[in-house]
Amino acid sequence: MIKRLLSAPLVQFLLLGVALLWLKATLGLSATPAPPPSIIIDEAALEALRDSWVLQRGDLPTLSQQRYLLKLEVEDQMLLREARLRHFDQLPVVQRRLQQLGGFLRGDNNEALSESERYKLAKDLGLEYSDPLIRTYMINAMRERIAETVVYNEPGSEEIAAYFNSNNTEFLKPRRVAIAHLYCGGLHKAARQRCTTLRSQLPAEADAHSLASAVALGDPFYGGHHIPMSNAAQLSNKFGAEFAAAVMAETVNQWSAPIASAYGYHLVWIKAEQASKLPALDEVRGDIVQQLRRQKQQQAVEDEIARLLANYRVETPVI
Amino acid sequence: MSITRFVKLAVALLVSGVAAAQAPEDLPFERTEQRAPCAHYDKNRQPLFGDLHVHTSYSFDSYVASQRNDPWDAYRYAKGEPIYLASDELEQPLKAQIQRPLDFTAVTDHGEFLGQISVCTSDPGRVGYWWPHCMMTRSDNRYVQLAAVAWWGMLGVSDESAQKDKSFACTLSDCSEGDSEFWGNIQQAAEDHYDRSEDCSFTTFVGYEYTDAPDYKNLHRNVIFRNENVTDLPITTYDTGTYNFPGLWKGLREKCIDGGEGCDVMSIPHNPNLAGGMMFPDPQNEQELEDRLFFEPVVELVQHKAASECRFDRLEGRGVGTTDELCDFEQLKADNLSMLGNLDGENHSERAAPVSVDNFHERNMLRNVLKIGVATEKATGNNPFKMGFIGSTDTHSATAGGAEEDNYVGHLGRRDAGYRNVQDHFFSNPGGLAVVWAEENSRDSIFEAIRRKETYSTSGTRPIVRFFAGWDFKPEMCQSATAVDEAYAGGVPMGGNIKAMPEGGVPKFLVTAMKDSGIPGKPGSDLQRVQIIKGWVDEEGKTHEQVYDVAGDPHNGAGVDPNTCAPVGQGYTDLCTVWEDPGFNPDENAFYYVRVLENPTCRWSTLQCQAAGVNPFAENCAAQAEAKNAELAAAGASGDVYGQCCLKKEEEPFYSPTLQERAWTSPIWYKAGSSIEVLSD
Repeated sequence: MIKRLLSAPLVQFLLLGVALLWLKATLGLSATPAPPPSIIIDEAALEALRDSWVLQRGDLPTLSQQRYLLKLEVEDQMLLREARLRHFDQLPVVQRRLQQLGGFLRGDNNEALSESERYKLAKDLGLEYSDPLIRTYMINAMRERIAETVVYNEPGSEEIAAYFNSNNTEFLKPRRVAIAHLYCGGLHKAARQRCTTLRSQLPAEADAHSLASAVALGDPFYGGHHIPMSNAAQLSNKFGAEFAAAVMAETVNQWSAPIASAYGYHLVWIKAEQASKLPALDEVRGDIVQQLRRQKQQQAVEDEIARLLANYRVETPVI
Repeated sequence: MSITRFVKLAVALLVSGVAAAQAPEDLPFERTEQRAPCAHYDKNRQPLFGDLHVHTSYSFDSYVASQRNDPWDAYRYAKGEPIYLASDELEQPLKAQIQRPLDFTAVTDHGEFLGQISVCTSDPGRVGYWWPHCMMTRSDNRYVQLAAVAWWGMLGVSDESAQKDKSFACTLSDCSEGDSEFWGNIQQAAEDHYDRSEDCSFTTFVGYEYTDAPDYKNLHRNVIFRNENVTDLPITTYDTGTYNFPGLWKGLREKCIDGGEGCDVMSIPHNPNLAGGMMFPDPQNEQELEDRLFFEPVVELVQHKAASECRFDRLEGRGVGTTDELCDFEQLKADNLSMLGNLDGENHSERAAPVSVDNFHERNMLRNVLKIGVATEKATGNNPFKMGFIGSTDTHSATAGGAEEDNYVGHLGRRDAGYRNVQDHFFSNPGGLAVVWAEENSRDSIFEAIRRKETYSTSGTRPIVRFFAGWDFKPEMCQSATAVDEAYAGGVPMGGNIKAMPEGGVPKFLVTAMKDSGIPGKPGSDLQRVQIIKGWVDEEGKTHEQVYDVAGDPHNGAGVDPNTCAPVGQGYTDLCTVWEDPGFNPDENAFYYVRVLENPTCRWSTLQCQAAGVNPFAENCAAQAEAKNAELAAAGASGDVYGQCCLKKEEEPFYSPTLQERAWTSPIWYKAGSSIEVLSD
């Protein structure tokens, strides 16, 4: 009877079902996935963050600053857990720190402890979980690990060109001029008139030799008569700001009207110029590549932190 | 990757592909770094203005004065951007902005405490952060701050013990990590602000301050590195012990000159007026002599805590080894760092008491040290004291180059903010500037200019001064458009050594000086006169000095309007002379340097007193001060705030409500003998 009963497919099916239920109950098998790890920051923790801010900065954080503090704290807690998963507690800096912490403790007979004993003592007391310095070490190590391992695309030509075009004021080069000048010392009318008279005697064209002869007609200028390529700021340092502005309005290869400086009047000949211009892209390509690499790496690190954080259940106070 | 390695890599990447337009062999200086050549290169050199003594929040005494601007901020200020300082009561930030950007700057925070300040201030996650001394350092309470700074001072600055202690915060947390962090940040800030493009708009140097002040005697040095190749950590008094700056040179030689690839470095002694005579002792051996000459080509002649050229006490009617009455310029009454401890207008330290002429050490003043140098050379064949001159600010508010009398926001965070500048730091000054004659605004060009001493110091203004010596200079050079070419070809510039003397020769000196060109709407002061100061040693080994007025007019009648401080009267826009020494004796070692004096202007304190309604020139100044004091007392101020505004020049040994801003060039030396070795030019 029992044999027949057991051979019945329905009974076999029922027994198999019971066995599966028993296995599930015994081994904890479940079709429902395990809940994600949690990061919970309550009001008390937020208050501690605020207090820390006040201690450092002397004022209360604004709402947006509080949100930023919360974001950082969530990230730090996540990075700390990820660091432990990767056994960063074995880093030499953490081990040294544990030895140091163990050094504050003594053995039962107040005897000095060896390095390994200090380490073991600190570890047994769970100081690797409570010491704020170890926490900082591990979080920083995790951030550095992410920064080292994230992958990002090298800036492409189009990207570099787009950055250059949208940030061109950053690269604009001011006009530069190299000048020769004839000097009429003194800021009185006679000096100005003398310069005006001399100008009428000067040839309309000049080469290096005739420029040297021309400046010799005036007074010696102890700051030099031939000034190398200079922008307005550099000329201003030598002659005064008004002079620099006036010279920058002059054109090349002609004698200016008398221009006043802090010292007297000058007839200025612009020997050469570099117009205000955007440098060629190739000249600043290296700078742009570096800038874009930094931006991309930073973005990649943030993306990776966000990806890791997505595996956690995060609860924070609403601000 | 360490920050230092990151900096080097970044430098290489930033300038990669930039080929030097001028090959290194074409340059008169060695190019030791990767950078673009400068568009404004000038073979006849150009004057570049800078500050090589700047503290930020990385310095303990800056931080405890509620000053929070870091090295990046200091460079931003030097380049003309505004920064914000703590006010006395901390509630109102003070805007600080230099009127003219600098050409170069070095941030020089105290090397001793970088890691300790890092632990105390950077990260609440560090246990050491919560050590009581650290909490005091971060406190906003004025009296707690004073206790904290005294604690720091005893720990690693003024202590005389051979082995200095670190804060217990370093037992709780890892200060060596903090040292690396802040030292790396200092390098990164210098790199971030160094213009390596052909614009050459701004140069930074990596540096720090070696801070030894045993018993408050100021033996400090600023260590300045030539390029981005620097020592792993600053060499400090924790490495050398106290009273041992030769130990600094030894360490720099081992770890930089001999031990660091591409590393070059110098140390610059601070203002010796507060050194108790110990800044320039005689070298104890050949190595010390060699190290001093190599590592210390220039000295800081003027800064926030007074000038150190020479000292003349008007009340006593005599000076420290001098009768030069112009040596009353910006002097402090004490001779050590205790003078810093003023609070509410009073200083209770016995060490801060005035020091008489007889008790003031002659080696606290540089003119005397130079004289001792030529005398030592006569006796031993070697001159251990051949220093050129620079000025700097020693700001502790990150205000690099903030040496402007009319734009002076104080030097020490909240401690001399607002009215406290007048009340507690009345006898201090805004400081000076370092000027170098360099071919271009790059690290190598400036560094080599300093090493050959082609530098001068100013009290904060920007006159342009050249000084050459030669045997064949003619008076007509002052009328020549090519005088500088002729002077370089036939002579040596400031900081040099006069070369071999022709038979019967007498040295001639070319000096040119141009007034500060000023800023828009505010022209610089006219020049009053040019002086040449000669020091020498006679056959008996006795030293002498003589001051010659060589150009200009000391009696030009210029002054200031006592109500507005506007300049009255005229001086000179420029001056030039070729001067021949009337007392030249070929058998006597000598040195010569130039002092250029501007027309009188109002001192910073006069401007700030007047702005508060207390006029130092007014007959009823005391009543004005009393009324203002009462007003401030009602607002919470303590003590006599504005009383010092009314000090009388006739009753003070050094102070005057007006001053003559000035420049001092590096000396040119003459060594007796017909065949002279050129030592360092």
